[in-house]
Amino acid sequence: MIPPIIPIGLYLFAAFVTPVVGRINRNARWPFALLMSLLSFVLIASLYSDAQAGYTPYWLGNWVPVVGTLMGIGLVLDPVAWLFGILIGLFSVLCIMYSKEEIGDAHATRYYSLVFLACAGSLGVVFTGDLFNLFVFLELFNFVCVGLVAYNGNERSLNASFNFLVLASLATTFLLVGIIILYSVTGTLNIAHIAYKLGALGLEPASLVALVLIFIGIGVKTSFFPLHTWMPEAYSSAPHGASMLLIGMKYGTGLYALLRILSVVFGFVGTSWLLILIGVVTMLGGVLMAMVQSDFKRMLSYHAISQLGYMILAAGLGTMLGMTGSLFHVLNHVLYKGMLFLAAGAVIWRTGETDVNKMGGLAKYMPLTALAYAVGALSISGVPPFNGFASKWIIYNATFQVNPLLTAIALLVSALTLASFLKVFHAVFLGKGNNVVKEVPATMTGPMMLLALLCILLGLFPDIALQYAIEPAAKALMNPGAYISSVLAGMFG
Amino acid sequence: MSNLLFVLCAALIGAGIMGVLVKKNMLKIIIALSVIDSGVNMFIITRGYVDSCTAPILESGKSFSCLVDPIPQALTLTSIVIGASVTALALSLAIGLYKNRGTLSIKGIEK
Repeated sequence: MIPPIIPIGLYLFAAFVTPVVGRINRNARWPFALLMSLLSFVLIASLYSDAQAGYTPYWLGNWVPVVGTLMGIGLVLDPVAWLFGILIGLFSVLCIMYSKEEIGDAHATRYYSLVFLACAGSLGVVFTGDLFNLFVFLELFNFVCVGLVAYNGNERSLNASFNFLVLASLATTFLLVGIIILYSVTGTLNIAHIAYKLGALGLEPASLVALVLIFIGIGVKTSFFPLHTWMPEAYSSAPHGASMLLIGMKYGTGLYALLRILSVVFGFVGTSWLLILIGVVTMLGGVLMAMVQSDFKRMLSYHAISQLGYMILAAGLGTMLGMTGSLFHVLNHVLYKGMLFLAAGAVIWRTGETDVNKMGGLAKYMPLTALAYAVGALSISGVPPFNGFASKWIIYNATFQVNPLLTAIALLVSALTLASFLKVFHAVFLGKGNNVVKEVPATMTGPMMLLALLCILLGLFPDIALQYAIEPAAKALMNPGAYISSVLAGMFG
Repeated sequence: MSNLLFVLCAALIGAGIMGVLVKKNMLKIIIALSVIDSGVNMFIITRGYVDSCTAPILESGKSFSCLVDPIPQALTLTSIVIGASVTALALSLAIGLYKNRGTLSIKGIEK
């Protein structure tokens, strides 16, 4: 098997070698970056069979636990980690393809370096089995996010990245204090070992304080209501390719880490009304805020928050069906939201406008972009046969089993989402406008068309994704005992 | 002794959070962030500290009765590095914003 450290290491290698390649030949940067990201994607994909076989801890520096002692840092590969990892791999490839024209020539080197560092950080968060390691990778990812958001260098993006940096460092401070409290209660930093010891000790007041601190700390990264304030401005002022990349990684670093820690460390797998409440408020708040936005990418960001509510709601139900729906919605959401960000980016890049009311009639000039946007809009609103419907249908079923009122709210939010997207589709692509533009080049339409194809395929054949990727992952999250016992297998002889 | 240290850590962290929330000047916010970091680092160190024990360095010919926990100290080193990078990154953003606006005052997050 390939150790899971290899893709992380490859991203770090690519981040620091791309500038050297740029020194030798400026034109070689983009092919080199694309090659590296494709290679990492293939490597992550090839981990599939190991991930499905069960939890395969990989101990860094060969610090394999001996009986009674666990000292090393372990990377744990399981179906959930693979699912989020493959999304990071896919999106790094698409981001580098898309960014070729947008970024231009002058500062491309540092852009590719930042993209690779972001991949390394978020992949580390996904694969790690150690809480302090998770904190370090999360900080790496935060710093790179700040760099990517500030990349355009204008006042708006600098302001957004400063706000993001202050909030993110406050959040990670909470996270760190929470981790240290857990360490002082249990005397270990390994997630499985902490869970094992907490299981023996029971939830003491100190562990509860740690839980709250970690929940807030990762909550800012997950950006559910009301911790979302940094997110719309940061995502809308990043370069367009980077916005898509950050959407692809946000769920790996936020939602995944949150669910993993809640389920494994604290053993919460039942119905959680707190998560359901957060999910409902996030869904409604996000969509209502989105309806009043006129900035194209800000609107998409608020819709991303609203869709996050579906995932948290479904995960909070605590049923197998709910968890399946939640994870399937993550996959679908990342695909269509990434595509929407690419389409919005293409429009903004060609017209130079960010306000949807100043655009119009672009379907004639940019037919492929309009097609991608239409597929994305129908997917996010849950219209069959697109992929958003497939996962929302599972979520509707799962919520109906717990409380039909939740289903009604979810349907209402879908209807509001559809209204909002149709309005923007009309404003941007139909009607009359002053902008006479060309379709964007093939490096930009290619990623959009690929994502649109994936959206339609997943909508038509959801069973394949469910059977091979989603259901094993949901099972893994619902059964934290298996994680703990297989990571700690060496410790008990 | 240890309780006094906890109060001190909490005071540092609290003062820092207060500063981040209340101050309008970017430099003061950055200073407040590093005050929080100091409080957190101190907190980590106190978690590994054992009264009247030696540092965990083995030397031949020296005997010891007990050792302090070395892991929190290692974690603190990482945390200090991260804190320094936060400060550097925030300062560079502040410089960029100052060049754009001519003021160090923050603008609220737009709704």
